[in-house]
Amino acid sequence: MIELRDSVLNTTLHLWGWEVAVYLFLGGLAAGLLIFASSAHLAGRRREYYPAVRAATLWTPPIILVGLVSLWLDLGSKWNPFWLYLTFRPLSPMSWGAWILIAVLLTSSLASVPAIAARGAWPWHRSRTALDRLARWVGPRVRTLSWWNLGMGVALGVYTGVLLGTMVARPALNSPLLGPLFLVSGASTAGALIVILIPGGPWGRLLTRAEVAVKLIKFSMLGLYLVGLATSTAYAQAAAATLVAGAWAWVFWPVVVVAGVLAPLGIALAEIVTHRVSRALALLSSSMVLAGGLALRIVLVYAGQRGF
Amino acid sequence: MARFGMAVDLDRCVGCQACAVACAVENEVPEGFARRRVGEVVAGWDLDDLRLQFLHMQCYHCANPPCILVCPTGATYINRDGLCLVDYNICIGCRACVSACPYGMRYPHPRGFVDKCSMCDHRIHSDRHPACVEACPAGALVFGDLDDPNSAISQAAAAASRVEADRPETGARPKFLFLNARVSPQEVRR
Amino acid sequence: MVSGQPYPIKGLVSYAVNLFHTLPNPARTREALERLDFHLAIDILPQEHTRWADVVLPECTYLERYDDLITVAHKRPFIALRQPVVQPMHDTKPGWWIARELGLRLGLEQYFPWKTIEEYLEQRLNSVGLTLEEMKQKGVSIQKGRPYLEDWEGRGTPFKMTGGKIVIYCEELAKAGHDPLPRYEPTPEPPEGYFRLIYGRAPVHTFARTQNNPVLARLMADNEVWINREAAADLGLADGDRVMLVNQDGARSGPVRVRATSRIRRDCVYMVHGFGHNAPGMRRAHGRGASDTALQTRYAIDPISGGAGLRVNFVRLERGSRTSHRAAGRA
Repeated sequence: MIELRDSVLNTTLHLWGWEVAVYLFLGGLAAGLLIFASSAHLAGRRREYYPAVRAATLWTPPIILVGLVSLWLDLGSKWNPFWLYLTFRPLSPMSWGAWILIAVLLTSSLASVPAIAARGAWPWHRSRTALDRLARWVGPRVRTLSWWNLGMGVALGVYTGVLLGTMVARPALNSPLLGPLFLVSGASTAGALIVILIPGGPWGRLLTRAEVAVKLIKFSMLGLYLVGLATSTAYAQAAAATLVAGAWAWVFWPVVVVAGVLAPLGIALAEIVTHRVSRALALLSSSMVLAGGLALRIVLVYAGQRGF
Repeated sequence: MARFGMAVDLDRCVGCQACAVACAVENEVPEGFARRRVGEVVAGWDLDDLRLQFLHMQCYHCANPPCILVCPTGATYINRDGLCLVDYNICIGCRACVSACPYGMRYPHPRGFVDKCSMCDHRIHSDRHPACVEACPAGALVFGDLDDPNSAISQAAAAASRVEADRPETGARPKFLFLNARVSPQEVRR
Repeated sequence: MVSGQPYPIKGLVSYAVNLFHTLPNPARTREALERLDFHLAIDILPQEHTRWADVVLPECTYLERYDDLITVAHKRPFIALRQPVVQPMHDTKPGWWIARELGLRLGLEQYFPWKTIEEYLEQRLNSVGLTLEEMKQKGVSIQKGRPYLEDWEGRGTPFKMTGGKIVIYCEELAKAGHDPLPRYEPTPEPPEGYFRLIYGRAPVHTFARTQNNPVLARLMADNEVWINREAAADLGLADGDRVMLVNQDGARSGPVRVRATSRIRRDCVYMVHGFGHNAPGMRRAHGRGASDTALQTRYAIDPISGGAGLRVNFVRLERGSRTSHRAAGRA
């Protein structure tokens, strides 16, 4: 029997807030969009899926930018982040993230140049020539860029999970499964966003099928993650209990599990079996996936910060 | 070059918290946070077999600190005296280190950077002890060079019947020694 | 003061004391204060009793003033100087200034032949061959000479001995008509549902006067009522629950957090003294924790020494609102 008394109350500090959750969500979303657009290019399906690929390409840089701003809002010293780019710390996930983000922002912007140029709606006439010149330069290099962006997409998606994993002293977040889980979740939110932005089209069927696979993987990973916690230390068990039965259970079960995974999975399966595509149902399903993806990160950031 | 560390002789500590007060005042630690805390542990079940122990919590200035690895800017570093310090001008306040410290000894300072015990680095070079050591009325806190067998800390450790560090299994290799503990730090955080 | 016997007391000057936290049974203290014609309080904090005063003279703190010399002659006699290190922050005056100005106005000039405290201290220090300037540097001067208290180290014991044994049987007591060998007389046991209220101190706080200090308040902002772990479980109370304490005469104090612990017997509850301030001006301490003094409506007087025994009060714990385990730490 141990009685413990601590004189000051800062041992289970709440360190990270909604800013980080939003950033993780947007990072995963951008990663998914990058992977979708790049693989479409590489698989030679660019023309077939053009409106969806174009939307994905155009939306990626602003999403990353908003994510970066959200991350910046979370920092304690708003004027010091330039130090991130004066060094590289190979063992710091945060350092990797800073570099990955800036690189991905650059190359995803580059990849979107032809789409911007082709749109013909560039309002600033003076820079029009420069834009066209850049588009012409990017044009033949799209394939290389796509390979690069595919890799960066995967890196970004995995990284968002690894970042939380660096909270060594927070058992709920200290799981190697978070990286792949966040990657898969990011991919499914990206698919959902595309369905919302450009409904219908041949990519709809592809995304529905991909949805089933991705959701099954995500579901089993979520399960494995919880099993991993439950079979680990007492602290990790307590953390798992907070998720499934504690203060965050009311978000975890209905939003993360049901709305984010099970319901969309059911709708997708129904679509495949009945061959009937309901636009309203697809929109509902996609919105649920986005909500579930955001909720997953919020729950993990907030509930996961139980210290020990 | 030195390998500075600190020790607390728990046979002497009475839990008066003078060290915590001195630390908070010397380092202008904002309200609601602490660089140094003294907790209280009671082990045992019945009045007859109770053991009381004071638990000293501050940055242990580990030799292999996880907080350094996660820092993305290099703001946390180990200086030539083996002290783990934070450069407030480089710290971006991402708090990765706070969450990485297995002992929970760092805190986010309201002014944006992350703060923790500096072993009073600003004092020890002018032949003064850290504020907590100087304030201890019982002589329970000892500071010194672990590499020097004649230093106060080496002598105190040599004379102690039990020398322990907090949870060595973290691999961080703390340089803060608990001497003569009745309730070992391991027992506390089972 | 309450009875007016053996003579009526009309006026009171309270200085460096907290009447409601020093004396048991605050209700009676209040009654006594109400009978005064005049009450002057000199204090550094707006404590409870200063609100009962006709005039309050705010004093500056010990870091803002000179005080009289501290002369201690225990094992090693020494003289210590308390000197100001900062200017007073507010319109406050040192105790010596207040005493002198009051004295002059009362026509007691002959007791204050000095104008400033420096002059007074210089004079006193010169008499032992020291100067104020020297003491300002040194702070403390160790003196030689015979200790005020006998030093028995290495010289036997101060006790009366017979055949190698210390004599406890006291003939003086017998002559005075008391029991020469005082026997233990059991005190009343707590009635059903009540616990004996015992109290003590925590090293962080000094009496009832440091609870409002910001640095100390963050180490210990309020007190807790210690209760045996099993007794707490019997009452359905958990660590961190808030309770009101009610004594055998209906006096109440609290709310205060429960500390369920193995460190106390089943028939007692314990509190650190000095909390439960009821002075809104003391912003940090006001309303924090419970006051043992408020619950000490009874006391026993030792017939021989006249000492007051305050641990003769019994309290029960009345459940209040539930709160978080703020002090339960990280376990």
